[in-house]
Amino acid sequence: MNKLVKRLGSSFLIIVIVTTMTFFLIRLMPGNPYQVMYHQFLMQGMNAQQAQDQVRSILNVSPNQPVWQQFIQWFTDLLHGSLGTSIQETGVPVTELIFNALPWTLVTVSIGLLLSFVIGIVLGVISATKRNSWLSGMIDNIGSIAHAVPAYVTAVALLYLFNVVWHIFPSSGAYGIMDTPGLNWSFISSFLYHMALPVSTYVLTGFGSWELAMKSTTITVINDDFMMAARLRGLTRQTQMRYLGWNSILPLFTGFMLSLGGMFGGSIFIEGTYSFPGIGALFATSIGSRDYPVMEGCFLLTTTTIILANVIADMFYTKLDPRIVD
Amino acid sequence: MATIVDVKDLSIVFQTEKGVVPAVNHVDFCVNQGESVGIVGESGSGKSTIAFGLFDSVPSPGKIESGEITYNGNLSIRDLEEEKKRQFYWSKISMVFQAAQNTLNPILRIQNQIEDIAKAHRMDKKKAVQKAIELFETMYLDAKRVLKAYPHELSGGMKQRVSIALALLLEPKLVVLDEPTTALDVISQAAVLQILDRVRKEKGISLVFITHDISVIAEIVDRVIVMYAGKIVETGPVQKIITNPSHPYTQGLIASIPPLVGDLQSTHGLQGQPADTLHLPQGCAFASRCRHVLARCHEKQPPTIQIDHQSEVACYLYEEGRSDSA
Repeated sequence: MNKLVKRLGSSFLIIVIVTTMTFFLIRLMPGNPYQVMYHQFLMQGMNAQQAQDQVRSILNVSPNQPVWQQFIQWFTDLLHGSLGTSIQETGVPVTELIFNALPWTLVTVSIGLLLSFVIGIVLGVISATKRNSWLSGMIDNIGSIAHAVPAYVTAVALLYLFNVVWHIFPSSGAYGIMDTPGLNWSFISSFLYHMALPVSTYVLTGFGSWELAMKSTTITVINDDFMMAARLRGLTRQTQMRYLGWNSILPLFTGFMLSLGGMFGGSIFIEGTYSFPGIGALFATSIGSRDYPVMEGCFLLTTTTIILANVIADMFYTKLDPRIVD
Repeated sequence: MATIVDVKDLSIVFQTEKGVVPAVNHVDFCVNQGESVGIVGESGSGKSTIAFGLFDSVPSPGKIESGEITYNGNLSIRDLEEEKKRQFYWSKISMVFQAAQNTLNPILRIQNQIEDIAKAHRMDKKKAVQKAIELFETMYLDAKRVLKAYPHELSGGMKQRVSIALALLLEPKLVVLDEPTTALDVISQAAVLQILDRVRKEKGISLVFITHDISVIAEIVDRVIVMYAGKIVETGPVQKIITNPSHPYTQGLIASIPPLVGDLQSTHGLQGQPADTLHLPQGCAFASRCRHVLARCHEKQPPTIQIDHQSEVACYLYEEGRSDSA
């Protein structure tokens, strides 16, 4: 328990450091939205003081305020549970934007991640047990190619084939314009229909690395002495496969947990291509428009979830693998 | 005495990149009920391969090229279908593996591994655990602790004794022990060998010891089979082999055992290099190291010659009318 408190404490510190660094880093990018708005007001004929007051009244930030002062204000707000308001969608709280986008991302990415993990594990075991056969070679090649092709290429290819050429799946959005989100069949079926291409893209780009990783750990375990012993002990085929499966999948567990943490960030490329209203798309738009508060909110979310996933993975690993003692 | 296993003309080859290695070369031997046999030879002589051969389960790239392995006079293991073979393993023939420390599933408690064996052989789990507790206690193991332990929580010697106990769990007719005492200190070595000897006499099981060190097993084997370069060069009662070895290789092997006390000068290692199994000579494989080598030793394999009703040797020195020159 004491260990956990310590661990959470250091995680908190890392989160503070990372968000602080990103706060300053994003302000090194060319294009300061406060200055842009300030200059717009100047060009509209306001004098400097008026323009400055106008920006402050709209964005709650003085355009000429030093960055460190902005940081102190942002950090104080954060400690009070506020992430500020969006610049682009003026006045809308960042938390609201994030909570509106998060469910779409979480559902699609978790389905995509689980499917690609399961498919990768199964194919990896098949490839490892049928080593040196044409099947194994085919699985490995498909896995490597799927893994190597960038997500945005796969996304565009699927969009072209299944929307432009064959008109099977919709090109954008998370549900039909006639539906209202809720627990009704019309909405759920529309959501499933719209998520088909994004989820397929996650699976196609994701399963390859799991397949290759699972294959390599499985081959190592197959050649372990205890697997030979299990066979000569006459253990049933199911028991042998259980021994093989658990011992092979354990090393992949940390990676899986980190992917779970990473899924809160969604994918900028995939959600962007399909205009899917998730965190990835929100992130992409906020970067494009230099929407500092939204960017900071997204960074904070992804940093926190990945670091917490790491802590959880470490905690569970000691439960899953008896050889690891905390 | 009933024959437990009869091996006829067994040849096992390893297909390597450099060529075909004949690890076991036309070998005949049998093991009788209640008998304890030692198979002795240096590294690469094919003795461990024979152990896996007895299970018809030579690890890849090894392969049984020819030969018959018959159990109880009528059961040919090479003709057995997979499921029958699985049931045959461990209930009729079991093994203590060379690297016994690595033959337990690392992420499963010993008790669960015992239960898996019980399940595979339709034995009551509680009875199996009870039986294991008895065996552990005879091996001076803290049974309760061992049952609850994961393999990595046990010392090498403890794992070795667990491995031996597991081999005796289903009271098989034949136990093959591949270097069973190498990980043990001298005191536990003696204790474990005594236990094996007692179990053999009580239950009438047969033991096959595979070792490079004849002195360790001298006390508990009845008969010794000496192997060199995949062939049996001499067999006979253990007393005869130790006090009056016939084959020049066996003579060298016995002479190279260092005495417990006394002058190390009196031990003589064998001269020359172990046979290169990739390029075996046309004649006797030992000829290049032999002190009594004859011209025809290089030309043709020596025949197996019956010395008396219990002993055989494969050497020209003992051919009819030549025994005086030995």
